[in-house]
Amino acid sequence: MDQSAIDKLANEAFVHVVDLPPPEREAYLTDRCTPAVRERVRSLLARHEAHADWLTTRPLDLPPAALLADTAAVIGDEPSLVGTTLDHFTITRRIGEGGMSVVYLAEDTKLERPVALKILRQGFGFSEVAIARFRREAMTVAQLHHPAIVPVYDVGHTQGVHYLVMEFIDGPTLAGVIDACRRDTPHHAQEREWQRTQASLIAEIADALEHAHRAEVIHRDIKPNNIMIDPSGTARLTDFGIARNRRFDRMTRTGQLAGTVAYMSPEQARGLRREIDHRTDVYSLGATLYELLTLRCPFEGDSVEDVREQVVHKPPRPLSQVNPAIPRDLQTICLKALDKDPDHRYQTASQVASDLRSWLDDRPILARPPGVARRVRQWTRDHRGPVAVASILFLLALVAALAIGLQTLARAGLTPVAFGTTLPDAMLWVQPLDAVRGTPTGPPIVRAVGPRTRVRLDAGLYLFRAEAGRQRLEAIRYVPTAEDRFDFREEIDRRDEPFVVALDRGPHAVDRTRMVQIAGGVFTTSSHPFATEPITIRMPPFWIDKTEVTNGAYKAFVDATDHPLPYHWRNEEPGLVYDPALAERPVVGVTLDDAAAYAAWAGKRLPTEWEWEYAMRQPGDRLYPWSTPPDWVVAPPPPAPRRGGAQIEWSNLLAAYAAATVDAGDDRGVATPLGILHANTNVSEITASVETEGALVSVVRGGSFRGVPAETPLTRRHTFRWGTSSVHRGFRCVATFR
Amino acid sequence: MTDPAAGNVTRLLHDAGRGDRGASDRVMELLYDDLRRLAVAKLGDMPPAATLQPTALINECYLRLVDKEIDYADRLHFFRLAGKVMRGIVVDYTRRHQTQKRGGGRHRVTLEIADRDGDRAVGEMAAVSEAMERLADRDAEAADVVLLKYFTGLSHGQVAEAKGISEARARRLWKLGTTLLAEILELE
Repeated sequence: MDQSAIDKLANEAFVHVVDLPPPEREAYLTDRCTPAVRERVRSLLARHEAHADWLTTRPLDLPPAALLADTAAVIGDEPSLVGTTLDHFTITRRIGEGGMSVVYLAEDTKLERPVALKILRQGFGFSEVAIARFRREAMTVAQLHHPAIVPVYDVGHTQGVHYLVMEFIDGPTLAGVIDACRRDTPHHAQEREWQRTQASLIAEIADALEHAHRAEVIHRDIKPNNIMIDPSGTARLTDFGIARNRRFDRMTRTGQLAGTVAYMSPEQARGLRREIDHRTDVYSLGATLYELLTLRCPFEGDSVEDVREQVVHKPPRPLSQVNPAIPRDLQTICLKALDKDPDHRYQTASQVASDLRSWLDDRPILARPPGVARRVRQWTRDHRGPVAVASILFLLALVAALAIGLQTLARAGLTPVAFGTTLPDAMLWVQPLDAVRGTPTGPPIVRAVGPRTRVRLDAGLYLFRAEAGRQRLEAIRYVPTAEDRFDFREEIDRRDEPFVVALDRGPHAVDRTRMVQIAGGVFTTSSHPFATEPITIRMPPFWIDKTEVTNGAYKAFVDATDHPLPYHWRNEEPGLVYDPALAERPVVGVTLDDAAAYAAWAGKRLPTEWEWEYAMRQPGDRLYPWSTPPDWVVAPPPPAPRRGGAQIEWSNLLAAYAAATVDAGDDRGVATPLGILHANTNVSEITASVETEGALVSVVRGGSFRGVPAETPLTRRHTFRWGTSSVHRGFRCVATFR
Repeated sequence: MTDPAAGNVTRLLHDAGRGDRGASDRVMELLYDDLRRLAVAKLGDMPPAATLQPTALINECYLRLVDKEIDYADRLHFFRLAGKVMRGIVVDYTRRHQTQKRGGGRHRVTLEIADRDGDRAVGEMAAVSEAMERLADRDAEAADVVLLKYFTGLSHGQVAEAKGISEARARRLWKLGTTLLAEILELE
């Protein structure tokens, strides 16, 4: 046996024995392997023990440059523009750079004055998002007029270069000043004077921030690098490159870290975008003041991750520890601005300015060092986890939390939900459900008297129910986080809009003859791909539609309500209109929201994926609607015609749909023994279930006209992106009756 | 409207899964473009010191490009190709990076942290990337698990699901793969 054959056998044996207890391992190796293979496996096992988990199971982060490949040259050595002329600006020298841009000193030949030209790096020129963001900076700053904010004069685009024209400040940045001080140790001689100067600088910047905040602009990247000192000694705030501005908010992306980590507020470092308001700037201003006073950052660490961790969890090093000569009041001001909890910081930038000026004038400041209750709370937060908390401290913390924590609780990470019904005099309930199983995890958490209520809910699956007398309407809906509701295709940020659950019932009674009653029972299935064990659910009885919802029924719904038409009925492309000839075909091109709205209008709801599977597999847990493998073969669907080689047009997709689907009520195919049609044919079906691992996706069940029924068991599931639709996807409803 | 590329990629994946090399190459090209585009778009909002997670980018590409009902086999193929693209990116990057360092870098004070911090990760990734070919020679199945898990960030459960094997087997193959890699890289 040659070595490679031995290695192959050893690999197999290794996989077989690696997780076995040593005696069984040995037994296997002795009984089943030749000496040469055994020796090789032992060497592998030894190496495995020495290097278990050496290759981290966590995916690694890459510096952005790695992904920029051929644009990386840009980030490194951009061809210098010195000496060239852009429009009427002659570039003199390079004075600074950032991740996205380079700043040059230039001469404005029309107005004969020096200006700073901020030029978008070439590599970003092709990114529309980058260009739009660059221009947004100009528009944002143009709204602001304050002596301590560096004005933007103009924005332009020439010869493929995008640029901003700004006032040229002939002076260093605060970061430069701090660096100089670090080198120049004897500055302690004039320490008091230094502190006074810095306090008044920060007060000026606080004024500028107050002005920006009133214009609803949040800077989000306050740090010494973005504060310049002009020749008259005045501090000037610059670089609104990542500022958030309500006017242009549609453009900002969700869930990304913006800002520089050492100066980032805890809420920013945690990526809690929704919780970021103007007080993030108050924090970063505090961090800047801290560095000015101590010449050290409040948090220092070996890696970005390390610093970020400290920003979120650790209190800053006391200033007196770094330099005992810092006056107590100045320390208090600094720490108040640096509070982890925005509610305990200065609430406005002007309060910072005001306390700094009080200190400068030797008047009492308003900020107080943290009190006992606060420290206990801080302590419990810092020692959460392994440390057993003495009960008395726990009680104290509880009192403290009750006193000051309620506000915070109410605010954290909740999605606003507008829940209402057309049912008169209804009682409204909201009950949390297990996100995977769809079964209740507890009693209803909201009870309100209708017709409308607004609640804030954690992201998750819920049963929404409206009850009036014997009438009942309900829906199972997943309430997404604000981030999940960001619409990537349209780039619309729906963060501030409530998630709407409308149990708006139409005039028609539910026709039970078109539904099938499903008896309750215990259902066990292994079709969830991520579940490690089979899922067992006790199913209450319910009713399910015999057929998919038809185009005609859906048309009646959109006609009666103002619900938007499916894209392919809007006549936005030639021929894409509602086709009465297809009225009995299953409706497609609808999103989960659309399907849910229809279901409510019809007095029904969407099934969870388990209800769907349970109903379809009755009786006897069959895998296919027919009890034995089919003796009939369906002709494969015609391939979707191509046009232009690549793009698939709606009209082509619809032609395939028209050719390959059948009427929803067409019972010539195979029905389940209970009489449910098209379980694994015609169109696949949207359910109320979602998957939240990774991105938020909706679960769709059954097969479509594109698939082969014999290869599509009733356990088959697909997922699709939340908020999208497809020409293969329809739905049917379920209902429970009292 | 769906992304015009989506249907295209889905079909290409299908063809690629049946052994069409041209289709594989085309998917990798599209993936590469999309990864870069996403990376650039994200960069604008990020502090210079931040790093990008290949896994997050790949997932986003997946959602953008393959936003259709897709067979598990094709889905597996997508992640396998994405893993290869990511490997290529890492290898390219480290080569260029080393050249730049030798060529004397007057560039970027601002990227300093990212560099310092990223170098370790990239160094490791690059080593693993280069060793992957040799791993595939020694055990193709283990190499496939490492590709799916390390370069595209699938969990053991997802690897198992994608490959149609048990999760326990996926874990054991991961152990074999990492052990062989340790051997190839002569880790002491």
